[in-house]
Amino acid sequence: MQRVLVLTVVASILALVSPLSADESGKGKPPATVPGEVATSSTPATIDDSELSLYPGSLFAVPDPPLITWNTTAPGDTEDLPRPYPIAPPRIPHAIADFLPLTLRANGCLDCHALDAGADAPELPASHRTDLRNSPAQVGATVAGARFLCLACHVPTSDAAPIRASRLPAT
Amino acid sequence: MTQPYSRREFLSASVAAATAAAVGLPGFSFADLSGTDDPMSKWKWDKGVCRFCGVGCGIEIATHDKRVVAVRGDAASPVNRGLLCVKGYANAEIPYGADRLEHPLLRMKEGKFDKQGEFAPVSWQRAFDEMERQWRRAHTALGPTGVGIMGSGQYTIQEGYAASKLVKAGWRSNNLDPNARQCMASAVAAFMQTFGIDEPSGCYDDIEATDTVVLWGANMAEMHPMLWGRIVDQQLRRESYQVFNLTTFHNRSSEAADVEIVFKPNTDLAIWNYIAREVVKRGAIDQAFVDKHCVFAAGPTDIGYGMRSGDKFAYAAEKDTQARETEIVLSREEAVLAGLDPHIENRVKQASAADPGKHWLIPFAEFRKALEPYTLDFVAALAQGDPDEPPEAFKQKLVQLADQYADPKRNVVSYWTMGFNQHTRGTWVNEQAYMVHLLTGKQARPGAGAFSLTGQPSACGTAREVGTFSHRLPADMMVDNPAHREKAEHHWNVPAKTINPKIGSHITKMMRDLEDGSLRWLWVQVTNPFQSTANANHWIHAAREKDCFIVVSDVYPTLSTKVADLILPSSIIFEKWGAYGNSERRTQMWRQQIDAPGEARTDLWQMLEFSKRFKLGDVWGAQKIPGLQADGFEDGALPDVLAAATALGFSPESTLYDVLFATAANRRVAWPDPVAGGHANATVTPPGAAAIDWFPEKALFEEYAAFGRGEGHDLAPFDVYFRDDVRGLRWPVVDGKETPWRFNEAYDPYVTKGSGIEFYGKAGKKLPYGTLAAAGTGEPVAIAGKAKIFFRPYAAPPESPDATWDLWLATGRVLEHWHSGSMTRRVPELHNAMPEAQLFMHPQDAARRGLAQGGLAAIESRRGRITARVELAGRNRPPRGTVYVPWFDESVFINKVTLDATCPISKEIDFKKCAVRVSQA
Repeated sequence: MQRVLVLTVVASILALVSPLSADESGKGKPPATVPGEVATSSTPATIDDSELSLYPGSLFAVPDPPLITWNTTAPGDTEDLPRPYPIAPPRIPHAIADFLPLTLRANGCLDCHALDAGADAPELPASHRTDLRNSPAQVGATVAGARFLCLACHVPTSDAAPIRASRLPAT
Repeated sequence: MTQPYSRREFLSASVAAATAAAVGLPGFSFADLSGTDDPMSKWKWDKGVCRFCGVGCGIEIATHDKRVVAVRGDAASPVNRGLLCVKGYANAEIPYGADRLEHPLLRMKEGKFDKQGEFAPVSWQRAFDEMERQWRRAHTALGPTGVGIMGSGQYTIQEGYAASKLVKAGWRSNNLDPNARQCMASAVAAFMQTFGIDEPSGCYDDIEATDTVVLWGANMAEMHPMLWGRIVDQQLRRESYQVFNLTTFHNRSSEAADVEIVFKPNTDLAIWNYIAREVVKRGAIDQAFVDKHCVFAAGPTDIGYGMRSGDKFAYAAEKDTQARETEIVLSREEAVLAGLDPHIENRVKQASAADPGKHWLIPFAEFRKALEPYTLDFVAALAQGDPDEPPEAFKQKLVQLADQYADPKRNVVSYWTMGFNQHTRGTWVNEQAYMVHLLTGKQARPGAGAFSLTGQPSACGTAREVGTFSHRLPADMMVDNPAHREKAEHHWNVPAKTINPKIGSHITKMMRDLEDGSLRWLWVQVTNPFQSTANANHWIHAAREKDCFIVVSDVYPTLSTKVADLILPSSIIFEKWGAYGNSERRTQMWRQQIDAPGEARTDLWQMLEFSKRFKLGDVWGAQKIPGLQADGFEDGALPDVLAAATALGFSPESTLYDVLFATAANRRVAWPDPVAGGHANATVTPPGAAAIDWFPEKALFEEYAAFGRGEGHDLAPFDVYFRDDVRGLRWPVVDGKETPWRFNEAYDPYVTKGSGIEFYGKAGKKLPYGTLAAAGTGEPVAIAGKAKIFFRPYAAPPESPDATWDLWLATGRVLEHWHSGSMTRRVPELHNAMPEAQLFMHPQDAARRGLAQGGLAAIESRRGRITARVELAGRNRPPRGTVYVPWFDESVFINKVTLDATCPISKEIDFKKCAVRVSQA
């Protein structure tokens, strides 16, 4: 918990402390509605280097990294996860260990997500069945070869909380 | 359960005809979002290039209400045809982490700079005042070599060019070196030695044109995913298409490869020689090609490992490894290969460490003799990397590999990245790839070639082509070549002998210089070297404890900002204009899309502004340069060139800004410019600072391009890259036409008509003949138009596992994160998908140490100790005896453990092998 607090305070300082007038510093700045950010009048004037960056401590220290738990939800028991913007690739909302590795002869994702796979799962959209390099005007029945390795775009999920908030609203 | 498919089944199933309209926007299906009420209908799109890896995917950027709101793959880009990897999509998010740096931050106590102070926000004026004061202090004490800049393969072309001109012509220091030194310096050295000119002969179209792809230390599935997608596409279409993955551990590229070859670290050198031996033995040499286009060459083998030559700064535990810089005991295999008795101790002084790149010509008979010991049995026994693999199976795979290269009917492309380049014999192993491709005539033809992939978006475009290395000038020219200096001085309109002829410190040496006090002022731009340099404990202590001043310009706080004395807030890619050059020589540009937050400024503005602080009188008087020895120069000194400057129309009061940047010619390149189409330029009109009326990004690009036009590096005019029908162009661009394959008459206008193939690079094309053992004393022979086929022997690494440090450690990247993670770890989806760097290890190695999945392990070397969580079943599966830790995570600071040995020729660190031990933390 302490770690989260420190990060929040630093984020506030970096984003909000300004030696300029509000007029000058406000130019071109995205709306500063950072989730969890607390703008206070008692913001400290200086920052210790240990508070900078993504690890809140001395760089001479050797921290013990936390244990991460990967998403264990079974396929079908999931809800769509928020995306950063509408056309960003959806993340994988379920456990994937059982479907790996993806090889040329066995693609566990397509077992459920191929067209007419018969599973209660989102099917490959037309875009994914279109070979944009060779025949961009044709929609096929199977996955475009260049998109065969699903994990290049669709990534798994875990219980890790963001280290830093994003200023972008999720959609 | 997954269904096994035949490869073709995925693609040959009936192709349903449909109209393009049904697909929606390229790459996506969102017909349901196309209504006019949808906010997306208001998005404005412009073309750009991905911020991340060396592939250089074309992207389209959507902006709305002064924000980047989305990106998508550019369907018109020949590189990626509408597709992007997950990092590519994150381009839309990287400007918006909550802790963007928005103001300069200076370490202060009681209103004054204090190295032990805490960071306080200051004005740009105050920041530059302190930066200048500290620069003068270092310069007065140590001269031009007391100051330096660490740059980047992520610099835009214009930023790199400005840095080069400022450091080399302005400050007369050659201490400018990019992080690209750690990325592809070995590839550069091998290109220069083999072809006499830098950068690949082939292009990405080779993927579709070839029959066999061989990965040598390139996990393309994670590091170059959109090129890997093109390879997999071919595999699915063509049963005959073969992919080999040579690696020291099983990885994602293995999963889609036909053959995986797991070899022991450094034995790639032996495998290449086995292949070459097979080619010779089987009579598979393309004799006409070799006779007409090639010569044979060799060099010294006692060249050290790029470590410091003395152990004054070494920790006690490091001294045994350090000592191998001056003398080694040959390994058993090295002794056998050298024809020595392997049962006795063979000590070899590393006598050629000072001139490791020296080389000479040898007759073919010498070359053939050198290959003789690399038999299948010998190499298989040496190279097998997985102790659990049956030896016969491993042998069989080596034969299969040799078959691919030796078969005259098969086109082969060899790809490599950091596995070759980050290698204590990196230059050699690059040259060995050319050795086999040249012997078989499989070079400079569509679908046939050895191709070095780069890691960074402009490692080629900026670091290499502009020449932001400590030894380089633009267009492949060198600071230690008098004719090249003269040419650069002429182009730059600066007096003769302004440029310092002594090669500066490479990036690792700059770290060592900080430690030994010979560098006291350092500006870090667009990189995070205190996280990315091996043996980091030395450098972070030096930065904080020595008398030095460190400036770090970045968009976010990084590990390097933790050791900085001054932090400058920079604009991120879409907050500025720029150009990148990718691995296939494709130059791509983008317009500024959005404004930077707070007082963040473009890196170019920072350099131009800082250059106003220097008058010619400060820098162009006589200067001391320790160790300088060059024809026409007094030992240890640069001459006063102020009188000559006056003759050129300058005065000692002229500033470097006036002389180097705001020249009369550059000021004629006016802003606003129609090419902008309404887009802003923060270098021209920085909010809250004075505006200018010229267009630095265009003026500097054109000034730089003049170096390469007519020299085989021709770039198109600036505006051409912004045309709607252009998605970058592969240089040389001559008469408006790009060059997909160099050195091949059918494609490359620089090849002499009628010669078919011509390796026309000019460097190192006059050499004497000698033997394998030594250069001869005869007259140098001209070899214009030819490439060199080098013999390079197997060499053991400077540090291998032993009883105390019993495991190999390799490090590298992951798909989800870019380099040190300073951008991607702030993208919530990427962080969630890859939250921390894990220790990938073999289950038996873990069990022997009492470690289980998820357990906390200590990883320790002679140089440092860290902890990480154990991963036994992840995407990387090392063989017994090897562990792998990615380096993106500053909390799992693996570079405290790694060894800073380099290829002695290229000075690139070997991050792929050192000896560690692992235990329960």
